[in-house]
Amino acid sequence: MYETLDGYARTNRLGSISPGLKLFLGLASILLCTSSPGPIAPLLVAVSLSAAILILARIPPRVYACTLLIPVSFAMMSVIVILFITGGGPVLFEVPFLPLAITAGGANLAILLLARVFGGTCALLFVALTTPMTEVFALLKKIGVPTVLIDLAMLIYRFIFIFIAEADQIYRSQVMRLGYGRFIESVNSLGMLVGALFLRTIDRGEALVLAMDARCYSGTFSTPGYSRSVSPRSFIATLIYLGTVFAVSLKTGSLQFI
Amino acid sequence: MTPLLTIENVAYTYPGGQTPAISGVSMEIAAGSKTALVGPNGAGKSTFLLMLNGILRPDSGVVRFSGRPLAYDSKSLRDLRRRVGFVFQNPDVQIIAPTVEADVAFGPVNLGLPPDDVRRAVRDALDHVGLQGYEDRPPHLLSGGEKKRVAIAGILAMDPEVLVFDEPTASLDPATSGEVMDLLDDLASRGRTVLLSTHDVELAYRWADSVILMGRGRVLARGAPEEVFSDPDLLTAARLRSPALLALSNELAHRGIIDRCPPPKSMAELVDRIERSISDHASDRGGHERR
Repeated sequence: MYETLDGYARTNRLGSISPGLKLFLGLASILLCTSSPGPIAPLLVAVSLSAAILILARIPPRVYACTLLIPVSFAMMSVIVILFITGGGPVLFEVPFLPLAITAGGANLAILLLARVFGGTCALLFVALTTPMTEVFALLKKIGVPTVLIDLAMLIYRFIFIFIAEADQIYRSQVMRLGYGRFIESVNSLGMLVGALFLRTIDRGEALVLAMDARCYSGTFSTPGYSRSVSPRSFIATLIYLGTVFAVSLKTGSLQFI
Repeated sequence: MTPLLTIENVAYTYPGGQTPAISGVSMEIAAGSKTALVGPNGAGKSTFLLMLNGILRPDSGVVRFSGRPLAYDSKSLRDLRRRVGFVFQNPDVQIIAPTVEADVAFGPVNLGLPPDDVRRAVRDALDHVGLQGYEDRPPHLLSGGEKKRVAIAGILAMDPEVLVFDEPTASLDPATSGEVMDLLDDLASRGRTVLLSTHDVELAYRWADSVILMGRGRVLARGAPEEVFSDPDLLTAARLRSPALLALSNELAHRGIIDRCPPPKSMAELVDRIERSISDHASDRGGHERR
């Protein structure tokens, strides 16, 4: 079995909360993070939602850290560039022999950007780790997203797992025949893997059309219709939380670190 | 009784194929029958089955459903596919929706049933295959046997008259394949016509009331399982072996230990017959001694 975000979304402790509310909380937090003029509010979002993910939803910290590390490490790389290319304010540090310098303006911008990305990522992971995709489909249907898009999303979702399983199968059969021994072999084997996957994808596509035809496909896909009601308590708690973050972002907007 | 499905002299070659996958195949499937299509790998079983609901169109020959030749326009095909349900060998090919409920509902929704009827059809189909409570599960977290049941439920939800199974027990463990076969028995006993392909002669012998033996794209023989499976030359030609139970009882009958007819369908039946013939033997001898 594969350890996927979807697996945790299915088994976490916040599963009984309405998916609509979780999605609302996540999206609103992302908006607040990206629009906040200062870094305090996004950091508050990052800390509080991480706490919610780890303590309320009981996602294993190792898993959470690993997933968080991927986007945040990308953000770090771009922040380093921004640190050097943005000017303004007194010079804090100069690289010897090179025309590169860190200024106070650059440092402030870098911290703000990092905080925003960090907070936004936490909010996104909050949704991804606590809301199963199947519930999101039902929600999308309820809010009137075109059926074509939902059908497509459902098919893609279903096939992600078949794709992973096929890739894993090919990889294993290559490893069993010592496919990844030396570097050059690895390159070779990887090429074969990708090629075989491509062919299998086309096969699968054809089989899918057959399977749908055999079941009288006429252009409609069913969408699971279950929904969870929003409890007033959790709704009010969400509003209070978002209000607090908004207030903090207004209050601390002009705060500069350096 | 008029046959439900009639196949007349059908031939098919896959695009790009050198030799025909099947040729000169004719047969009749009676309504309410349990038919097993038995043959080795590459005999053309799957090709043949795919013609019964119009997924493949024969190059020559005719397939008739309730006396009328199949039409291949999309409206007639839809109608045909509602009445002839096809369960694929690999459930992963057949299951297309992200949850069990959505997948089973796929057929009924596309038939244009109102939501309440869809819900009822899904519930009945899941009850039938014993998967109540699996509605919200995603298919990738199910076991092979559970996936097979979901695939069967997806077809049952359309309430077809004929059920076609391509290798229903392939890659299932003995207990699960036993359960699937019980399910097929149950479906057949409710008046549905059930057709399956297999190379498991034991399974075909026990389950079917009519066996069609195929080999190299042709029909080699057809008839009651005990007849077809008692002909060793025929089975050798088809690269199959006689079912152990039938071979044993034929051998016992040949040596005069039990009566020849009718061949037993289960182990218990065979043992009963041996026991009876031993006790007959003993009472005969007892009579002699007393005299």
